[in-house]
Amino acid sequence: MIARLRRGPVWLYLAAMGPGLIAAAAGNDAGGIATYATAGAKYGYNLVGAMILIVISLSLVQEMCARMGAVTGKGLSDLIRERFGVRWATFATVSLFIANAGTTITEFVGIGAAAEIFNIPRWIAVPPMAFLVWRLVTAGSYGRVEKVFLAMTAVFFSYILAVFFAHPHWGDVAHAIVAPQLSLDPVFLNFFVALIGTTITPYIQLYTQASVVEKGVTPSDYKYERFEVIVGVVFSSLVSSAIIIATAAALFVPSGPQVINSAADAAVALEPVAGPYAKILFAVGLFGASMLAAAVLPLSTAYAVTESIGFERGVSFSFKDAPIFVGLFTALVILGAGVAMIPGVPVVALLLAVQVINGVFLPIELFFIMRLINDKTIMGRYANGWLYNLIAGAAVLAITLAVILMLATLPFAS
Amino acid sequence: MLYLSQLLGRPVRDRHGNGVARISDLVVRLPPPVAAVEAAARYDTYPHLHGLVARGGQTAAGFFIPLTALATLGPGGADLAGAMVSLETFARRPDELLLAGDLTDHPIIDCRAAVVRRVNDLLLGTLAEAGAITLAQPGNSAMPAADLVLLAVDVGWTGFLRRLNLLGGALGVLGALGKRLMPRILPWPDVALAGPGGAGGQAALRGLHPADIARITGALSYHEAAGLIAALDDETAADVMEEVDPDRATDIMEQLPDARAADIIEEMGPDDASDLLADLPAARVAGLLREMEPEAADDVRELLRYPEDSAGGLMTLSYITCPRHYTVAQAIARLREELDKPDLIYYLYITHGPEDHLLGVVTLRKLLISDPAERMDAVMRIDPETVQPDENPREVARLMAEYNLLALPVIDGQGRLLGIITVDDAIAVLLPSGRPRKFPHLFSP
Repeated sequence: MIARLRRGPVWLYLAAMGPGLIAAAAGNDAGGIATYATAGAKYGYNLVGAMILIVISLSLVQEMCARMGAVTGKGLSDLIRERFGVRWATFATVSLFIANAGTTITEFVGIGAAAEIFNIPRWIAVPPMAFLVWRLVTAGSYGRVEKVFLAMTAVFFSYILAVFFAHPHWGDVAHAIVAPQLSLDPVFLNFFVALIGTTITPYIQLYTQASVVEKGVTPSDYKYERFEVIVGVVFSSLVSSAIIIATAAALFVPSGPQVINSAADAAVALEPVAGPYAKILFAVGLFGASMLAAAVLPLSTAYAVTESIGFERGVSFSFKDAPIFVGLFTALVILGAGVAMIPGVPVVALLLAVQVINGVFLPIELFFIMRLINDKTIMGRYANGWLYNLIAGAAVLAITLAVILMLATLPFAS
Repeated sequence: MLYLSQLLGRPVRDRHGNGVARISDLVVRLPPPVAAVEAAARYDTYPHLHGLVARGGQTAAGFFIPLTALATLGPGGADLAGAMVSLETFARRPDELLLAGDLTDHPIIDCRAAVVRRVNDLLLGTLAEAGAITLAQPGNSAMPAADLVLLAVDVGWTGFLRRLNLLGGALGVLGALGKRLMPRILPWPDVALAGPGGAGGQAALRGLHPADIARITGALSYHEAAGLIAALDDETAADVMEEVDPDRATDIMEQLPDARAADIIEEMGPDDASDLLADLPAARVAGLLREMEPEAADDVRELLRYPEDSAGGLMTLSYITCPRHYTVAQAIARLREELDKPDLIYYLYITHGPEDHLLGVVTLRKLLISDPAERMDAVMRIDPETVQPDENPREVARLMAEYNLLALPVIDGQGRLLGIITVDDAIAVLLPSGRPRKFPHLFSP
């Protein structure tokens, strides 16, 4: 009997853990931490307010995808292919593939950065870890070790503690939330899009919807699923906001903004909590989150691509049975590990650039989500109501506007 | 032969050659269901073209052009036969299928390989061309519309690239590299619709083993899976449902109306039926049991009393008993009578009284080698291994392995026979979760 991926152990397991938890953990990967830490170091508490708006958008988008999964029993790429045809599906898949390939690179950069904290050079640490990820997934034993990586990411909850140890100026934080200061400065816009891109990462939507389908959630038990998704978003946003506040309190100097040079600089903010162990603690969390996403991301990308093209549905991990699927997965791992190993790669700049790419592709995905969720032929009475559409539409519009502004001012950036 | 992608968006022309609209979809009519044996031999398993949906002019909605109004269809577009076309808005009838709307880009079942594939393109042609579809080259001349049938489904790279208008370029690049791209085209008789589509679209499914269909339901959405199950006859549907992953089975049952679901559950073994019902909401279970035949419902009700993770939860009520005074010849005759009922006939249980007190067991082998005149209590093995209904399933599996049993009787405190546990259900207990839980029944016909 052919071992099936779709309802096979890995996906079954991922689904059983709850999409919320995995999404939360994977959201705070290397790219996420670098972006949040830079946000704090560079702009102080200023982006906490923007973060709240982004998180509200994230919960709306996540809820819509979970609902689509429960009502249709199909993944996002399936639905795009069936409702919009092969051209739009290819366009969506190619843009998703580019964004995910970039994000995969950042996961291996994260693994390398975690190793460097222990004084292990990147080029020594990354290849064996890339092979480990590849081997665990293709041998079908990834599900058993995933729990370990997931547990490692729990370290990041210490950022919430760090916030209290850092004694931030709560008045300033409150002011930033009530009156966020946005500007049209190209550098700021670029950064703002990166913040959106890393928080509402396009692949997380696909992942959430796929897990809901995997779990066999139907409209009758959807309310539990919605709860789980919202809880996941709240937890992940607590951690990311805490990173911003903690690094702002530790590093931000109003006179001359501090610049984060390596992902490990974000560990400084943990020092009030963990003292000399801050860096070790941080490295453990970074390693766990990066390993988690380094497996899940190429896997779900390869899955989405083959599914949208329409080949090898429900196949094994063997190259003979599923050359395109396994080939794509392998290529993504090699690409990610390969770029991450290049000596002298400007780590933080690379991480931020990838988040910007994610942000640029996000409106494309959101456009499809909004069209599908309002399609009565597939959603029936579970389509969005007018109020929901108004709020979600405003969020999508704001995100799109930010991306357009960023792209328009890009030529003026120094 | 013509591909659907060559036709969509092309003009519909009147007799003077003036474009009046554009082709938006093609409508075919599914053939009525025929017996399995006939289906393989009959040519009219292919859906015939029934008309097309066109868009254009003042109306935004698509309007239907029936086959009778069409002269030819080709890469250049469609030519109308008459001067007049009545502009009736298209409304689909149940036996009609929209080639672009229902089939293209949707999943279908490749019954040759027993897998789900996605439709990249569709091949139309005359029945005479049905034998030559593997070499299908897109045609470049118009064909009489009345002769067109849906010949095959293109699920390969060539179809995918053709839709993107990249096929020529891709073939050029590959040709320069000395490689070829093989089309993957499934003849329509090997294809079943993923989802409802009525029995007419599902003839090809009859060649598949129930376990294959069960696996296929796992690769479809639960709506499509329920539609697929609904298109099967009760008996096949029951065989499939016994093999379907338990979570998926409950989702499928949620989608079926009570009357149909009850018909399917009746055909399932009472043990599988009670496992399935145990996962459904209580109100639904009560409704289903009311719809079922009273006898089958009683069996299921009986089994539902026991928790799933106990010997009682594993047992089935399908077994054969016989009184102690029967002769071997009488017992064999009884066995023959009831052969259609139980899944396992290797054991015959000897019971006493109206309450079925278990006295002993006779194997089929023993029955066949014994003197036909001998009484059952003379040939039976007394004091067989038994368990109580609250026994741990792992202990059940251990006992069966230790004593090499194919089935183990379950008795209550007074020694009354309640049911038996068959070896396939016992092995499933020992397997790690995520593995297929069910095995084919060993002695089923």
